[in-house]
Amino acid sequence: MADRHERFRDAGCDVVFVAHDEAALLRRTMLAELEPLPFPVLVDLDRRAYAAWGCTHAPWWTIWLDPRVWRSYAKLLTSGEKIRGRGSDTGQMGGDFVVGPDQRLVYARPQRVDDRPAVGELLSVVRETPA
Amino acid sequence: MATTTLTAGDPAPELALPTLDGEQFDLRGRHAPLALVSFLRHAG
Repeated sequence: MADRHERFRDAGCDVVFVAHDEAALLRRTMLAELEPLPFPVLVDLDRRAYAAWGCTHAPWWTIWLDPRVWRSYAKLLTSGEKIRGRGSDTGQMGGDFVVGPDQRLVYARPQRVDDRPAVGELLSVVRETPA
Repeated sequence: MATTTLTAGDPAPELALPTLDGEQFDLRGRHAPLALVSFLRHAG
């Protein structure tokens, strides 16, 4: 995470993460062994921001019966990633957005299945956006 | 709360939330020149 953050910072882009679980649970699971973090992680317990930014909730079968999800887990595990423990609601989808200097979105990609864009795709958007 | 589908060109919705340490963060006026906002799916 930290090395990727540097690549965005070097391209003139801040990185902000938003999560919907309690800070203590995040620190025990998703963020375990990753602190101190070079970017803010915001806590959205009532998920108002998730909803406002168009991040929907998916029924469990659309996630766990999707072979792409299992392929992505296999890829992460074989690349050395650890399973860090799940959160309170694995059906809450995320999303990636790039905000321009005029506070308008230059990129919007709400997650519909386990389909996060590659870091390279996001970096390309950032690098091609006039500051 | 109903969700909306945002696309490029739309105004960024408000993002004012506490950080992990409880400090208040507001995206507006705080980032330069771009910001990547990544909403996490907490799946393990």
